[in-house]
Amino acid sequence: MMRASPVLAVLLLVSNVDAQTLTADDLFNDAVLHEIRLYVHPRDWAALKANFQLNDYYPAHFVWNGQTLRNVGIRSRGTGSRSPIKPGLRVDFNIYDPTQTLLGLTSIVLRNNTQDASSLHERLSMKLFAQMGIPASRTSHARLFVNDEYAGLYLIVESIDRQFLARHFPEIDGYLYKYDWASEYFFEYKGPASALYTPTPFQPETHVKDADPSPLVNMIRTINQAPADGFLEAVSALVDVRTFVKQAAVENFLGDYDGLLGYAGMNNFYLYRSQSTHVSTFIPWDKSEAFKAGPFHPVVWNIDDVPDWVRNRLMDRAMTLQEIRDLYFDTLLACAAVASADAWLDQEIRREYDQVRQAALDDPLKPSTNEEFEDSVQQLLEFARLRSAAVTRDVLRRR
Amino acid sequence: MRLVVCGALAIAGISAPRAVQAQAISVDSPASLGTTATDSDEADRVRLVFTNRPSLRVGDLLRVDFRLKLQGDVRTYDSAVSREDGFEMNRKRVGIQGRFLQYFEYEVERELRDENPWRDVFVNVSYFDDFQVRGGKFKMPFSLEELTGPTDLDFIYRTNVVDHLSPGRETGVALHGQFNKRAVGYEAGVFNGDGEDEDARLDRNHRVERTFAARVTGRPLRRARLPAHAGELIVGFAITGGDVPEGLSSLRGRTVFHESFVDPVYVQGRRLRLGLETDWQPGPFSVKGEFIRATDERKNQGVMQEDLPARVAQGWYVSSTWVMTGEAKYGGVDPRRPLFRGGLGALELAARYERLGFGSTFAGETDSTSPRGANLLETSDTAWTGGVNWYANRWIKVQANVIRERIEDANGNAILDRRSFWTRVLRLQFVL
Repeated sequence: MMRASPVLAVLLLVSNVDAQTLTADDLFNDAVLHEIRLYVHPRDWAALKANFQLNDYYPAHFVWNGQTLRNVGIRSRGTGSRSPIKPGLRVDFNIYDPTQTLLGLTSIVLRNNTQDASSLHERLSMKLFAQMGIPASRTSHARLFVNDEYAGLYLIVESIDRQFLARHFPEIDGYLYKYDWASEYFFEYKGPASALYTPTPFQPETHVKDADPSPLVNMIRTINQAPADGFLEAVSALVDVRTFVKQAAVENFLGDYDGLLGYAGMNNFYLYRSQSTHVSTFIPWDKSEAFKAGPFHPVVWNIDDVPDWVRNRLMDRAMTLQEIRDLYFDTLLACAAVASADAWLDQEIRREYDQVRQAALDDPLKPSTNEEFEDSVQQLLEFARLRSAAVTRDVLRRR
Repeated sequence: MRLVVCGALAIAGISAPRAVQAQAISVDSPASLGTTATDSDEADRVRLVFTNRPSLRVGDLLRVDFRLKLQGDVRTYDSAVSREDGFEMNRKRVGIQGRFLQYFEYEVERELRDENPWRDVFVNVSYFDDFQVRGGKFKMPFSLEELTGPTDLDFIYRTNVVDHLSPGRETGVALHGQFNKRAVGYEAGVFNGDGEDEDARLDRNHRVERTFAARVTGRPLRRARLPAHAGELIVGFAITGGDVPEGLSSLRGRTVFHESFVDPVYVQGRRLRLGLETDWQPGPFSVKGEFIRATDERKNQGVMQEDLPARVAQGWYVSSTWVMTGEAKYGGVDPRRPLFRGGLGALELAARYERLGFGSTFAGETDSTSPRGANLLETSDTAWTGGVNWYANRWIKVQANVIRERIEDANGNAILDRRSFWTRVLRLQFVL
């Protein structure tokens, strides 16, 4: 009793026609608004929405640009963005068949942007991170159809996985952690027991079964206990301090209050420890809260303007060094320069807005109204208009 | 728990001499009730006797045998297994069995635990020897090994094949009997579900409503002009059928150390089990084997709600035993020179090979582990078991097994952390 969709039937016929010429870059080509179709057993789709707080996988067929992947795994994802109405999705192409990939990708995230009425925060943020030389996920927007019904505007986000690492690091066999926020944590040393740090909040993404947490514990102890004299050398042997500080600066420029120096401690990042150098590097993740702090967000927010005990220990100690302090402020100025050069940020917002506007307005499942969508874009344009100058002024005043 | 086992062993030792004195009225099973020579002489007398176990008799009106079954296991697992080594009281069963009003036999057995405590609870009407009727909770007529009681097994554990593919106990009613001087036996019944394993597998909403089961056994070589032992070869065929409601409720497979090696898939439609079995017990030797194939239909279970090829679970085993001290195997090893009576009991060697696999009928599509995949990647568990059984006397048995399992998919990839695992088990058993 076949009940195949006529659309899927046609897509199956043309499936893989262009497989030889497409690459993963095409999926993240943000010059176009993509279309992704998921076919899910109605019972599974209902179960996924009913159990949206769980990470249970369900089988689905995935169709994009003539590529049809059968029996991929989809699951609900997110923290604050989880939704039973418009679920955020993780798509694993290889969960049921280890050999299956989409143009070399083993997974992607379909971000529902339920916390971002404009749906543009993440894409704009990742673009700026990339421009600032910080490893960041590629993104592009897509109309998502589930069983041929429009399920809304989603953002395709590159997963932080081995394929991502291969694009940014010389080796990919190291230890990757996803920071899984559980409570306020400011990188303080809580003791020698590894269970205090992993699997929560540092959740292993690689080497899950042969986790070696001792270097992680050693890194945190060194951050907290290394003597002031020689601090940078000692910590730099274990953490890429400069990338950390640059990432904190970009997040600050973006008005993101839920990042490395977040309002509730650290949040929204991955940490990758190289197996050869043993140096850990931070990788930004989930920027739906970016821009929300507004264009006049202080450049030393949660650095100099809060009590010691809620300061990020690494940032706090690093910023006592003039070299690092200069790097932080220079990065902020560089962000301001990039954003304002030829009104880049303004133009990028307008370009993305034009691309996704109709899809966003048509989105039947978004939690915000169309008026809120338009207002949030206007707020972004206001941010772009004011932020660079505000940051430049603030930096000059604080230096 | 160790105290319980030690206490039981002590009882066995103490009671041995009295038991021997009373062997003239030996009763072993409901099937043999009423065959004692003394029953008619003792009509209407209330007596408490001890043959192999305590028994209350009220003439021909009532007979109550009191049963006790204790099994304790000492297990050591492979270093790669997360389960902890140690001792576990595996079975603590008490029960009664017997007969009343001449034609009614019964058995009530309870595990001393809170969860699912009732084991066999049934009444059998034996007015017609060839057409007996049994009703209550009892094992569905499927699989030689499943129908062998846990205290009479040649190995500590049943095979994975039987453990996971046979339905086990269920409430129902069955017609059974034996013909032609017990050369042919049959049992057929209707049951309210798919066996008690189903309870662990599913929520009540996904239960099979009704299962039909039938089993036929026979001695095909009984009249052939072959050496005497050849006539004891028993072969059997069994079948069950039931409709499985939609759900993630396919048959499951677990290793000896209770690790699942196959994920459940969505099924809907007919569940059909077929079983072939053979059992030959010449003198001190025995050879047994079974083949079981279970298929689950998957109507409308594709991602696009299309019908999928049936899920197939299939396995077999071959086992052999040899009683080194020479006692006959048939009917259970009864030591000629029991412990505490100047002997050391009987010693038996046992070996078994088994394979259990899960997959699907071919769909011409890439293998997948998706619960809605058309072509399911086959996963299998093959195992060798070597064992020694020491029958100290008719109440005490000690078994030692070494099991080596190999768990992999059709591509030869390990499904768990490793491909091969060792498990060692020592079982102490006391049965009244």
